[in-house]
Parts: sequence; structure tokens; C-alpha cells
Amino acid sequence: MKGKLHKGTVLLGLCSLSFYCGAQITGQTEAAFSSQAQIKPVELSAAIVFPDTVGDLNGKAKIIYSDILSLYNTVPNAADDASLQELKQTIEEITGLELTLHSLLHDFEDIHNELLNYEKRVRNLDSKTYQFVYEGCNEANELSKKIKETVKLQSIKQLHHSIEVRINKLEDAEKKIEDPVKSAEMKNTTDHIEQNELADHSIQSEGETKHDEKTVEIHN
Amino acid sequence: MTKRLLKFTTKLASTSFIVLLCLLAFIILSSRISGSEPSVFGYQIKAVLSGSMEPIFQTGSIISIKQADDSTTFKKGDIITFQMEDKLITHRIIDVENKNGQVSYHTKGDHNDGPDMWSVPSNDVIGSYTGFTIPYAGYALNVTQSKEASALLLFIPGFLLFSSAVFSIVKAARKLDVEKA
Repeated sequence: MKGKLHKGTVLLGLCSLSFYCGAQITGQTEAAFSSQAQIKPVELSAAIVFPDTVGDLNGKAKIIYSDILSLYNTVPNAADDASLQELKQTIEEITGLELTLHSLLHDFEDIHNELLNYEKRVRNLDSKTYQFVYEGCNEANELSKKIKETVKLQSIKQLHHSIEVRINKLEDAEKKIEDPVKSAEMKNTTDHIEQNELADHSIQSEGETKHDEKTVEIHN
Repeated sequence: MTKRLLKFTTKLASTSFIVLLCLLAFIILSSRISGSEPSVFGYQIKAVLSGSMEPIFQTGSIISIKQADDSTTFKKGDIITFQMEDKLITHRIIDVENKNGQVSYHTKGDHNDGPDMWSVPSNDVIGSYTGFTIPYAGYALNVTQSKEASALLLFIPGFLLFSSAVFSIVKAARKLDVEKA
């Protein structure tokens, strides 16, 4: 009986130990419920550019293009017999026009560059989806080409320069006309001063004799 | 003759039991030292904590997992155990995706309505379910995961074996005394 108890105790101990070992060997796994997986993740990606943006840019480019052309056509030209005053007014107008033209061309360039940048970015993407970018860019390219063909900034500069030259010539001529008159006036003025000085001198000498006479009378 | 056979069988069983215990102890120690999951000849034992794979295996059962030599070779329909964040999950493959040589698996629990929202890279796969399962054993083993249960499981056999040893020594001493007297 005692032997059986002893054996039972040992067996129980060994069983307990093996159970512990078994528990240590066993890991855990989940067969998790994931009903939320029914909602599939939706991939949202923003487009690089939208058709409205390209449309807006093209619209702005067209407005600027027409402004540039109309402004370029209004470049004033001075008449051959224009006066100095008229020439100065014309050159002022040309300078203002040049500044406005430069500003408009700069604005157009910005829009054109923006469109080119969009085209560059969509080049590796689906060409069908971004067809509107290519079309918009082509339109801007055409406008840019027309501006380059039509607007000759060099000719405006030349006109500016020629009017400046004319103004300088006219100013020189005016100076030459004014100079002889001035010299004559100057001569007149100096003569007059000399005469006045002489007159003053004679009056003074007369005064002195009268004084002498007076003193004589008193002595008498 | 029958008695001898019985004695031999008992001895063989107890020896095997002790050998098995020693083997288990060795596996536990080696896995603790290496920091890896304990495995027996390439197989891991896992207790199932939830029921999305019912009726293939029940919640609270233990299952065996064969560790994968090449985790890219699993096919649609295989049940795999994989690492997802800090959990191990066992689900069935419903689709295999191969993108530029990078294999990933789409999984679903048999008892779930829809597929899992993740795709499992082949690197995260630990192994596949072998089909071996013992229902409810996981519950019992799960109890021992607590520190108290572990301490008790070590204390009880220790106490019993110590008592047994003391008893044997006392018995031997008495026997010696009797013999001397």
C-alpha cells in the first residue's frame, strides 16, 4: 500500500512537471474574427492636376495673349515733323507700354511654365487620363510661338532709341538758337552797365566843382 | 510470464516518460536561451484562442504547426500561421499574390464573413497547419500561462518528489536500524 502511494506520488509529480513543460512548449495563436475586413480599404489618391485648373490657366493665357497683341498694336510712332514736346510725350508713352508689355510677357511665361511643369509630371502616368494636360500645354505652346513671331521687343527698343536721338538733336538745335540771343543780350547788358558807370562818374565830378564854388563864395 | 511482461512494459513506459520529460525540459531550455519559439523537430504547438477557423479547429484546442522551410510555396486553401503586429494568427489562404517575385497571401478565417483586410508578406509566415488538433487542451494549457499556475505546477511536483525522497530515506534508515538491531 505504502509502495503504491510512493509510486503514485512520484507519478503525480512527474505528470505535473510534464504538464508544465507542455504548457511552456505551447504557444498561442489567434483565429481572429475580422468582420471589419468586409469594408475593403479604398485607395484615394489626389490627381496631379484637374481639367479645370488647366482650363483656367489656358483661359488666362489667352487673355494675356490678346492684351499683349492689342498693346503691341498701339505702340505710338512720332511724326517726322513732331515737336520736342510731342517727342517727349511719345517716348514717355513708349516707356510705359514697354513696362506693361514686359509684365504681361512675364505673366504669360509663368502660366506657360506651370503648364509645362504639369506636362512633365504626368508624362509617366496614364496618358489617356491626362490627355487634357497635353492639349492645354499644346495650346499654350501655340500662343507662345505666336507671341514670339508677332511681338518684336527689339523694334520697340529701336523706336525708343530713335526718338531719343531726335529729342537730343532737337534739344541741341534749340540750344544753338538760344545761345546767340543770349550772347547778344549779355553784350547789351554789359554796355548798359558801362554807360551807367560813366554817367555816374561825370555827375560826381560836376558835384565836386559846385562844392568848390560854394566854398569860394563863403570865403568871399 | 504475464507479470514479467507487465513489469517490463511499466518500466519501459516510465523510462519513456522520463526521457520525454527530459527532452521537453531540454527543448524549453534551448528555446529560452536562443530566444525563439519552442519547436519539436520542426513542429510548433499552439493553443487556439478564438474561433474564426471553426469547425476546422475549435477555440481552446491545441494545433500543431509545421515550420515553413520556404514560405513562398504555400497555395490557395492552405492554413497558415503568420505574424501580424504582435499576434500570431492562423487563417486560410484565399489568394496568392506575386508582385515582382514578392509573394504575399490574402487570408480569411473559415468562420468569418469576409476576408482579412491585410495581405501577409511571405516573410511573416511561420508555418502551416498540419491537421493535428486536440480540442479543449488549449484551455488547460492556457491556465498555466499565469505566474501563479506556473509556480504551483513547479511547487507541487517538487514538494511531492521531495516528500517521496524524504520518505524513502526515512524508510531506508529504519530498515538499516532494524537490521543493525
